Amino acid sequence: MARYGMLINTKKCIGCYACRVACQRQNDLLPNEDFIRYEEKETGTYPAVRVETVPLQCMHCEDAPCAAVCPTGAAYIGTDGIVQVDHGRCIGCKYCMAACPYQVRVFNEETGTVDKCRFCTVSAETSGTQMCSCVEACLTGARLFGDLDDPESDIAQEIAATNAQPIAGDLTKAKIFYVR
Amino acid sequence: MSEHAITRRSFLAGSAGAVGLAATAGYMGFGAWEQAHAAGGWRREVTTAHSLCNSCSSKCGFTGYVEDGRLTKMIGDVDHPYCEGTLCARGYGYASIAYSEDRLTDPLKKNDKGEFEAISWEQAYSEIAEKVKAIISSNGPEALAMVQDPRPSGSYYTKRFMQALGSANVYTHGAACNLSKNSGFTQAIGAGDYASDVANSKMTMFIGRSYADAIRPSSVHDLQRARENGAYIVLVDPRCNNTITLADEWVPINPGTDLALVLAMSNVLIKNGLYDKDFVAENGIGFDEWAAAIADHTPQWAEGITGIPASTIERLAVRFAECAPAASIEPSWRGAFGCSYANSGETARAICLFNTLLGCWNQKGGALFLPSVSAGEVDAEKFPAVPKPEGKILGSEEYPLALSSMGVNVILADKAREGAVKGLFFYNSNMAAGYANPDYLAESFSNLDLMVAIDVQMSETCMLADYVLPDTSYLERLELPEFVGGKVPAVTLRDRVIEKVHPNTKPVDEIFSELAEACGVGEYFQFTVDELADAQLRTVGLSLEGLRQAGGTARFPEKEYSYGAAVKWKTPTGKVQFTSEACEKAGLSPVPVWVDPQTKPAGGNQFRVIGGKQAIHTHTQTANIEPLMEITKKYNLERVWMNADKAAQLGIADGDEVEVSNEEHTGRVRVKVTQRINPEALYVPSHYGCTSPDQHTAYNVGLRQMDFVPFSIEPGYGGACTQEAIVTVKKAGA
Amino acid sequence: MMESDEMFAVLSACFAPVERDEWAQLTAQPVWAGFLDAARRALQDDDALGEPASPISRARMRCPLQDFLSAGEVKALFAPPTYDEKRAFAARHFTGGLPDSAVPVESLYATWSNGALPSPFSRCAGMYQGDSARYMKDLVERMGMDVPPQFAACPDHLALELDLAAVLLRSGARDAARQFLSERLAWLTAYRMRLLTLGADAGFYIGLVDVLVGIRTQLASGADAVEARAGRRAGTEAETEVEAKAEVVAASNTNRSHTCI
Repeated sequence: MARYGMLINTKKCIGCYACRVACQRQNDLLPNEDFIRYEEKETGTYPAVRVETVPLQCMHCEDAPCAAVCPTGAAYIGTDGIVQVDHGRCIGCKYCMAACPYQVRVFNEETGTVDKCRFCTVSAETSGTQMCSCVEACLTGARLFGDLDDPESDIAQEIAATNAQPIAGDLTKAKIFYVR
Repeated sequence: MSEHAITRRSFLAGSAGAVGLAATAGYMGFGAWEQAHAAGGWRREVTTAHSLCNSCSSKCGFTGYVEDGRLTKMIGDVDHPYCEGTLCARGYGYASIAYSEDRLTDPLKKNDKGEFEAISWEQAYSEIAEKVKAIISSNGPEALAMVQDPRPSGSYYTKRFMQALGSANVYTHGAACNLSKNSGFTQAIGAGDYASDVANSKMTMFIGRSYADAIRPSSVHDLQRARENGAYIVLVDPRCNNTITLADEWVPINPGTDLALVLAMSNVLIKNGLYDKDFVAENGIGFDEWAAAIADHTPQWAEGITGIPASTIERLAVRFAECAPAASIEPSWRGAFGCSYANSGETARAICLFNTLLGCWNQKGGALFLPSVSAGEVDAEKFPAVPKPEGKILGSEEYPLALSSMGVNVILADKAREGAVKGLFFYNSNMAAGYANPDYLAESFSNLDLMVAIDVQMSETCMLADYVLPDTSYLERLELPEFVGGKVPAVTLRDRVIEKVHPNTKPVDEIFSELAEACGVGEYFQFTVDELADAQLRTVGLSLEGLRQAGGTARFPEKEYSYGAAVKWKTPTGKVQFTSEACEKAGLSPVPVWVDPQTKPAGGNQFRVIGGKQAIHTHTQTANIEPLMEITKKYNLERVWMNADKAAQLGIADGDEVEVSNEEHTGRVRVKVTQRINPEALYVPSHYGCTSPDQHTAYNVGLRQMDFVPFSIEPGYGGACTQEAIVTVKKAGA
Repeated sequence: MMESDEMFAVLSACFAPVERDEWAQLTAQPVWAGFLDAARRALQDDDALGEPASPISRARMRCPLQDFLSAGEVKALFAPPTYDEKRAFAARHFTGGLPDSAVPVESLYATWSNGALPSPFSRCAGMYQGDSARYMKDLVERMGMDVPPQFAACPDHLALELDLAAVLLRSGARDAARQFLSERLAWLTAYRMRLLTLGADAGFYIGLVDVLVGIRTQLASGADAVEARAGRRAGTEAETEVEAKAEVVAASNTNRSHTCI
């Protein structure tokens, strides 16, 4: 079975928020419910300054702290390795939000449950459905999605070529890799 | 009639007031209905339509998926020349405008108490027509004017309507956008615009333009290709904008001094003989005069004005020469010199002359004149030509360099004060908030006998109007074909994606056709937009149905651009004009030399206000869109930017609330303290400070740049001088 | 004696654009007095909207409107606006996009869609043609009728919802009418808040809304009694679930900015 992952190249990210809004459209989210969070890093001093925008979202960790702390099993890792939320079981205790090192889980005030990136773009990958997922919406192609275990896949080759790394190293065996 | 007859009348069941057993059996509770839909068993017709986005002026093509009448998905069209398959955040977000609670739903008239009341279209038309006729009979048709932000149908119908009434006064938003730039270009090269071949360039310089903040997807893609090809990309901007990710160098120029930089770089090329002498000799006129005039515009001189080290200016100029002809200064849009300063038109002129020194016109990687196609002559009986009005557009005497196709809209404020203009129409234009000082404009417009605004929501301009007419949103209407210039020119179509949401709204073509009828000039409007669209398309070998079937975009490969073509300069002299007689007549220097901006911050706690787009908004137009405004709120994008050293001197910390004030206005907002901005500049994002309470989401967030800008018009060119504003900033409460 | 279906027809006309003479007839006596009496009864009838009551049980319902409404509202209800006043109110408040707009449309007071029909902005609130509008349109068509053109933008306009209730009652579908009303009138709590921000001339409409909110409450509390009496009549659907859903819709509107304009 494929082990899905994503690569985000921040050298290509222009901080335009298209992925956030596209994701909200694709996944029917509230206007203030965001699965993608951005950190802007400004380095250097005037005028020698550089700017990096780092989009963060659920890293679909193989060693997922959210699943470990969830008292009801609502946060769990599916058979395909995608970290999921069983909304029926979620009691809104927010343990997972506290445990997530990337702070990318969001609380839906309306349903009282926690949600986060669903790797929805899998269905574009597997069925070819046209979507407005973050990967397809990205203007600069900063995002790649695919099977990390398939050495022929674009993502595996790009990770190898760029030495892309998870944002926090080996911390949680995250499946989103960053070129920075 | 029994008394029951009246209490048993029904909107649904007519005078019977009841339905039979079979009908009541059709009753279904809401829960059951929801479940039936969720299960997918309900009738669900999925249709798709190709159309054009309206969240900015690029008008990207997209496919709208409509299920059971509702827009469910938007996918950018790969074939559309500006979209190339990706939409921006605004494109996804703006679509909700169709269903917005803030939509105008009925024609409105302001009553004696200053409140708006819904009226019928018939009443609106007849009252407006009566006033139009009264103005024409007392002051002539030249006392009527129109301001519109061009859209495919809007441009055609607004102009036709005014011309039918006999007025030449049709203005675009240009004076507050790109009027100075296009007019300055025209003086130098006889064309209002050109395109930089960014993707194939070895070096491109952007002045005040940010592809990553004012997004046209194809431009972003081009810039990426340029990077992949190893181009050297330079951003000249007081603010280190988001394009920096795709650029090599940020040149943090003092705002309002771009002209000095361009002149000094020209000086370097000329002094060192690094320019394309053959090209200049063959194509130019007045070169020697200009060379002499800018002999003292050295990098050292410019350093004192621009704040850019002379060595940097010299280095950039030399690098340009090395990369020429695959190099150019990009034409920009509004950016730094579209309408911002007293020297914007001259900056534009100088940029064209600099590009001429590079010999880059129509060269691969240089500055190109790309082909476009336009509709030919249509059947004169069905679509009769309107006689050209006798008068000239108001403002052309005072601002002779301004392109008459755009006009100096801001002069209408003074014309209204003088009483020269009595009736003013606005279509898709929020002039009162975005073009010049809002208080000055409001006061000016209060002198009008008639003010009519047509929009989808209650803009600040609508608030001032006597009549407000409700437009359909862009998702609900067909418009005339939109021709797009490019390497392979194209034609595109804004089409109906969803049915009209509010039955009492009307598209622009209907409004002006019906208004024309009421005003007695209906003979020029005896056709539908469908008929005219089809007729226009047939002049280029297509048809309305054909273009729809083709996915909304068709190309004209036979018109494909090829590099190297000699340019036929459409200037009065047929040459690139280093010297311009028209500029001299307008009281400017015949050759572009340094011109000071009107204003300059004195240091200390004084700053120059600069504007600029953020990627999620277009001017003030998208601020009321909730998914977009939520981004503003989460990331505090309404904050003004201040240089970190300056902030430290003033005792201001990141996130502090500051008071920004000048003679025009005082307002409070939080501040972003950053290394990314020139110490002279205070960046005020251009999207905020909405004062229309009917825009529930936008209202009262952040500051409005234009509140701080004194009313002023650029000599000669007519730009609105939108960055000629100095403010003082202090920590709030300090 | 005005029956409940007629009462809803009058309520519907109050929120709808009706002709001058029609309004004159409705607000003339004895029609208007009959309407107020019907409203008074509906607010206290255990079997609200039930079969026409016997004279005896009617006699039991003696509480005056003052027991349910504020003095100001009662006064406003007893002096309905003239046609011109009604038209002027509608021209300022029942049209869209104005500071004082208070268009009585359910979608504007609800989340657009709870998933019945996904769309790019399902979860936005306060937009036209939300789920309630789609439901109304579907329902009207299922019952062999058409949404009148002037309501095309908003099949969930209060006037149409009330009109449909009247049709259901008149056509003998009382259970359906009960369920329909308790589902459809939940948003009026939020709408009432909106009306409260308007000027004094909103009093009449606030009074009408309070009558409707009261009837809905009565329907909810009377439901048990009715069920008991009807011996667990078949066909009463999962009212409680429906109730819960309706409450969520109302609650979701509390943070809208309507109240602070």
